[in-house]
Amino acid sequence: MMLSKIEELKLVAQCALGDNRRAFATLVEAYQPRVRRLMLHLTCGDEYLSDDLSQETFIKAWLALRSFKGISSFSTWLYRIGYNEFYSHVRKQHELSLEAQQLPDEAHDSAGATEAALDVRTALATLSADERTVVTLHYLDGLPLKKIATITSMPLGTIKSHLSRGRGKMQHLLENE
Amino acid sequence: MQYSTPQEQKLAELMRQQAYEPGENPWFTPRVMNKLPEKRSRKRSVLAVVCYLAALVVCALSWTWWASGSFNVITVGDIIYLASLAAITAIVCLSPVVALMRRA
Repeated sequence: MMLSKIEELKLVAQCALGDNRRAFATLVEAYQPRVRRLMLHLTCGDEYLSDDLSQETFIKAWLALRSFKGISSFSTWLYRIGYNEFYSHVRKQHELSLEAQQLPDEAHDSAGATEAALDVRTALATLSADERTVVTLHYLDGLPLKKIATITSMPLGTIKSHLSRGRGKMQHLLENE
Repeated sequence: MQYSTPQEQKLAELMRQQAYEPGENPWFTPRVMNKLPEKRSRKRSVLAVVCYLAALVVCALSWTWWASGSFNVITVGDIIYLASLAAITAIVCLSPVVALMRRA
């Protein structure tokens, strides 16, 4: 379900000013595939964890809707909450190595995946969480680097270096496979 | 989105074709909606406290006014007034208890 900019703003206003739950359900329905897909990539294919984090993202969004000023798009704002939710989960787990925590359970996650898909997923899993975030947002969602900088609160230069490193690692791995 | 190099374009296409796709989850939205907490607006909370305090003051003044009157003759009107005042005072006093129980 795709919402036009006007519809989106109308729904956000109904939620923020009137606590309209039906309007929020429409927003959740419209944005949940994108948020869940982002979480699925950040968690390297852990469907249960990604769904939990996505749910938390929407609950936080509901509580913070009044702080949405409309300067960035709603999806950028939502991604920012999702990204923060993912990182607070990582911090809660006291994981020093993000990669070790996020490596997927191959048998569970690769069911039905083609060999090419497995290559892409393996390559993604070798990236650091920051590199994976930037690569996913830029190449999968097609977001410009400035938007990614807004979502992650990282300087543009850092985004560029994460992207360059992540792309290099992925290309190297995919060429060798 | 246009990427600056063919390698980037190729990587983006590959990722779009082969990356993770979340499966259909018809329960996702209902689950989120069930978990949504009640929003507590600060303005509304302040207004509720102000109204509650005002009601308490009005009750106290009404009781004082009734107590200061003469008790030589008790009319039906006095009884109705007293019963209404008692009921309103009980509601005012119990409302924060009910609100706390609901929240718990």
